Amino acid sequence: MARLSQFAATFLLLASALLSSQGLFADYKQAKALYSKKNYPKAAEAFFQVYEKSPKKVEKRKAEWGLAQSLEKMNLAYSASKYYSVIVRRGRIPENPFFRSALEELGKINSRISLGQSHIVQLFKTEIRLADVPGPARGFYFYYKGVEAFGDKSLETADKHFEMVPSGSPYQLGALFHQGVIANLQGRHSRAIALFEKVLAGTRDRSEYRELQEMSLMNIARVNYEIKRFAEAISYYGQIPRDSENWLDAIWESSWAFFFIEKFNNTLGNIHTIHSPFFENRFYPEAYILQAITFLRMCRFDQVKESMKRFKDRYQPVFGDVRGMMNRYKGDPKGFFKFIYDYRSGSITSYRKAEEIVKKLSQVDAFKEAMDTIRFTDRELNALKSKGSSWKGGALLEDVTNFLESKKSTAILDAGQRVYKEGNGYYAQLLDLSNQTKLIVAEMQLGKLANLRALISIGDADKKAQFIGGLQQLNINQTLEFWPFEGEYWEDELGFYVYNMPSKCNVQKDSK
Amino acid sequence: MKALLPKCSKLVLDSGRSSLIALLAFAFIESGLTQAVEAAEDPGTPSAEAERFKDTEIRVIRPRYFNKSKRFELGAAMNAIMNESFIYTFMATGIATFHLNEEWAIEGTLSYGLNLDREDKRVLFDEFDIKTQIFRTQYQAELAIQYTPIYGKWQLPSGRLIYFDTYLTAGLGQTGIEWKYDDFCEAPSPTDPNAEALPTNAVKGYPTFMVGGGQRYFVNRTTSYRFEIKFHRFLFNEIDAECTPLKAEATGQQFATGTAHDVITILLGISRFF
Repeated sequence: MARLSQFAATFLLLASALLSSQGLFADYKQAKALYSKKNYPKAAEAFFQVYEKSPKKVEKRKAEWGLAQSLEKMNLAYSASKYYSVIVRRGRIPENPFFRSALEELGKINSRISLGQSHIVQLFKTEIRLADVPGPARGFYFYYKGVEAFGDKSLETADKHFEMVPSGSPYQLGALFHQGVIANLQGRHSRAIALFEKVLAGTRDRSEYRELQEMSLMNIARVNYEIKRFAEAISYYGQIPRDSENWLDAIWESSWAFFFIEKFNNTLGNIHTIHSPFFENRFYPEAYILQAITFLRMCRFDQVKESMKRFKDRYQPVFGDVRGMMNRYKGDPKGFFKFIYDYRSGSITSYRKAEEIVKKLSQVDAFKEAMDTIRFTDRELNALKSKGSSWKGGALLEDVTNFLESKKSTAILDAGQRVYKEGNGYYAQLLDLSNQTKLIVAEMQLGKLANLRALISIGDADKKAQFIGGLQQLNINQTLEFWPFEGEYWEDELGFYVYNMPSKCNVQKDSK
Repeated sequence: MKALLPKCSKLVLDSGRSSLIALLAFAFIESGLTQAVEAAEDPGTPSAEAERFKDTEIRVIRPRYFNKSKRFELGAAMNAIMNESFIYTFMATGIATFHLNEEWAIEGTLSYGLNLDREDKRVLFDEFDIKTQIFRTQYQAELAIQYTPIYGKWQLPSGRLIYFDTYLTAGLGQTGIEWKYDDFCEAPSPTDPNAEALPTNAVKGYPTFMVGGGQRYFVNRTTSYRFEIKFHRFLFNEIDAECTPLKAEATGQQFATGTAHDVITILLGISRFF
């Protein structure tokens, strides 16, 4: 009797195990069927069940892939990237059949919406053999390997990785751009210019690459500036469109180029633009120093003093607020990020005098990247409220939501740290400039003008080129228009100002 | 509303000169001294234009937005006579201009139009039996010289800039007047065998002198809208306005051959530069 009952119990157990296994198998099949019927929300939920509960590894892997695919079909690319990333991080092993496909999918997602550099760098910590990287994902893979090496200052390794980015890949232009930067850092200026020119050719008339195109123009200008081809540098700065965020930087940097070819009236004209009320919250403190030394070169000593005074008047109140702000957020990167975020949304209440630095910080790449991540994650979190509402039990919703929240939090933390560091840099720059103004004033008071002018002496740069306003070289076939500046700023005139102020140096020599 | 202040780089208008002819003569002489600013000039070296701004500490120097020099301008416009009391005159106008440089141009205009009687004319006749003498302008053909002393810009409240120029014009031509004698002549009495028949309605041309001024508003680098007001003086033969010219001549009455009649026109149009 006891035997019979033992047998019955064993039978029942076996039967239940069989049933349960059939049930799981049936779940995966059901998930696949739902996916085939394009019922992606239900398919995602079913795949997640299998992914979580199935004891079978093969089935689990398939469910993981199916889950990621379903989420992507639901336009939840960030959420899908979580599961693709799990697959990729596992590496190329026999029981990970979707490795190559997942890598390819991540590359596609990242070319549409940035996954964030830290996410991708983490992804490629796993050692991957070249043969294991599928063709379409090579651009994605090598580009970020290059970026990682570049960040570590391993320029040659980075260059090799960028070189491996195949032509035609959406990452190729970015790779060429980085190679240009590397070439310049290695002192190969002609190669750097050639690479940036390639980027320019590749981005022409493609609005999605506008930022890359402008940065290439800026970099060609900077390389030319570095090798003292100032006129060429100015012509590249002059190609930055007026409506670009980089335009004022181009005006500012070209002021130095004008200074070195002794076009002081153009230098002062550009600074006049920078100091216009249109840009009163833009952070260019060095403009006062350049203005002062330009006047110094023109032996206009009263105006040197005036420039120094204006620097002091403008930036002395800023110091206190910047110092207070940096002290307040020391060790609190998330708080610092939020502070800048609040500034962007127009709700800043403290450290108002530091506004131009805060504005500048809100435009650095780290902050903009984090803002993109926040925007994309928030968009998905909102979408999940409706798309994920049908998911029973809430485990999938919780898993995806946790991932998105954590991604956002990491992005904020990382950006907060990087932006704070940048802010410290600006503060140090202000201090340094303040010391420079004191030096100039002190030297002037001591009458050591010759020493001071010698310090800022200009080399044998090509001074033949003639420039009108707007960073444009004089063209003999052009008819010009002149507008006097009479204290009223017109928006269309910004960038076109040219001073009409002779140097007093010869007069002084003559009078001696 | 934001103040719309023009800025003018080439203001040579002298308010002390009341005569347009004198102004044009002055402008012509002046233009011999100040040519359009050619880029060959070094902005850092003295030139006519630099001289004009020699006391300006900060100036904008840039390629001119709209160049007219050595360009043809063809346009179409609607012209209306403003000072005829009893008729409306609207004329379709064709404009052809060649710009010698930024300041000087030669312009030909041809207008042809229709005349519509005003209500006043009908009321005068119906209620008071008064017939009115009317100069019905049928066409105007003029060749003029044009001088542009002002090139400027306006900023609209939206921030958009509109460049414009202001010109003065003077020229010679011919005005065609349509004489409709039943407008103002009494029909001859059928019972009077000596009555002279009314002259046949006809269009007669008279020499015309014209002065005026206008503005072009440049909407882009090839197109502009035009607005102008012109004063035309034509010299007509008095006998052409006579209801019984044969009888009048027979009585030895003297008729002036150059009696002036003035017409003021306003023009709105669009033109394209080639």
